[in-house]
Amino acid sequence: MADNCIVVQGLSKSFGDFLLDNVSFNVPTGRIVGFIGENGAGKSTTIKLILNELKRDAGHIEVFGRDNTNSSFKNDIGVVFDECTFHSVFNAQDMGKIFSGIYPTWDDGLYHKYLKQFRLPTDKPIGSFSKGMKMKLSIICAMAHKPKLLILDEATTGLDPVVRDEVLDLFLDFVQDENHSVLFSSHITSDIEKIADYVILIHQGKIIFEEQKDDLIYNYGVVKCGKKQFSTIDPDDYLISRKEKTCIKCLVADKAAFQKNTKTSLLTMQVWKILCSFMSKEARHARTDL
Amino acid sequence: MRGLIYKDVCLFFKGAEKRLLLIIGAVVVLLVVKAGVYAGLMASIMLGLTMGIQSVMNFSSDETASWKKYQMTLPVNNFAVVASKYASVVCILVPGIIGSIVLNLISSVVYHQWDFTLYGLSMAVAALLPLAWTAICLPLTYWFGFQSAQALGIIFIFPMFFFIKNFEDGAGFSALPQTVSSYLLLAGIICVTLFVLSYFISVAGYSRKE
Repeated sequence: MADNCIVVQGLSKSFGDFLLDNVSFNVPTGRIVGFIGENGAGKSTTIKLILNELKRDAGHIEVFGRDNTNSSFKNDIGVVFDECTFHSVFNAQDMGKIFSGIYPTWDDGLYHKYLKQFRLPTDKPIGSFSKGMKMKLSIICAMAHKPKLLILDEATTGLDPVVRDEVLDLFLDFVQDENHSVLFSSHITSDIEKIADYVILIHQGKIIFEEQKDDLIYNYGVVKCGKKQFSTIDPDDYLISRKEKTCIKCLVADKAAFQKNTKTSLLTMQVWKILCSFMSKEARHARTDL
Repeated sequence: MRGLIYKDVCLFFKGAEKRLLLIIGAVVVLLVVKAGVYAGLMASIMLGLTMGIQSVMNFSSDETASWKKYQMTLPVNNFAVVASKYASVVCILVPGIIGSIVLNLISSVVYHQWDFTLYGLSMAVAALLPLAWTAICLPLTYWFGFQSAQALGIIFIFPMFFFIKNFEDGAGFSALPQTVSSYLLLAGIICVTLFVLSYFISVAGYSRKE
């Protein structure tokens, strides 16, 4: 068993004024990795590059130990996007027949079990489904061929809290098998908080950090300082900063060491609220050397 | 690939525009009244064109549903994806040919004339028109988007219309079978060659990446 089911190294891609810059991270086998960042940070572009839907400018991507240009890995993955991409005239029964003719490992029994579990009708057109029902169907279709890796691109966006919890529980069940992994992109930090083992934060096309969730909770923190004090801080000591009206907030990887070295005040914020505040649309200033 | 062929054939029948079917029904009735014993042949031409148009409309619905984005995550290579489109068009030729037989039967029953040359011609036309339509429109869809194919499709309708109008106003419908049969072999060879060539052009268009 490979240690990492996805390895991304030095990945770069430019589109006009957007640059995905030297992105590197791993998705360990048997784990759920939350991939977070604000809208437009580069999450979907990274996922498209992993799926070989886009041509990379530089870098290396391996899925299950093989370069991703070898599409054999697609038998072992399930992908869910932020919208249901199935034709509205089809019903769940039709989708089952379509996928059974695509995936050699498609399990029709499992598919119908999931449909029953999520109370989805088999004979109604998908066009008549609610957003939540469509997303549940997309997730079920991604799982019924028994993939080893799920890649979810904002798959829980727009779901109500009840459906979201059901879906998140399904992902947790999925990784009970330690050969199964999930790469879960979202800008909803509460979802990541609930299920992720590792968290990767991407901001303006650059990876800010890749950490275990527990390390993030216990070691990371936000410090608050004035403009004058901020100018004395070594840029290597913080990951990302945000200017506010009266102060500057810095995200630091080791809050205890940082406080010891600088006389700044630590904000008692939950790490998820910290991430939310750094992902907001207000002014953000990532270190340029990251 | 079997799943993708099933998807396209299923979409052809489920996604058929109801208004288009009503218009076709009305035109067939009009043809039976006006074109006499040749109504079956005329209606088969109409059916072939409609099936070609409907197939291209289905390809556009893939764009509307963002299916292509999803399809690229499936374990199917580009050759198989495009081949499934062409194979689905070949599959729908069967109901097209059956439809042309039924239309000729109606015309034969109404006018008590059984000309089996007309049956043969109608079946050939019902098979060749969707092939030709797909061969022209599908590469355009993959290279320049659905709208270019739609625009060219509309342009393609005019010569067909004037072709039929020419027989109606000039030599009459009775000259139509003779003219069609004299060009049938050539048309068949051109259609099949175009269909095969078009597949490779479509694969090249589909395989492009940003």
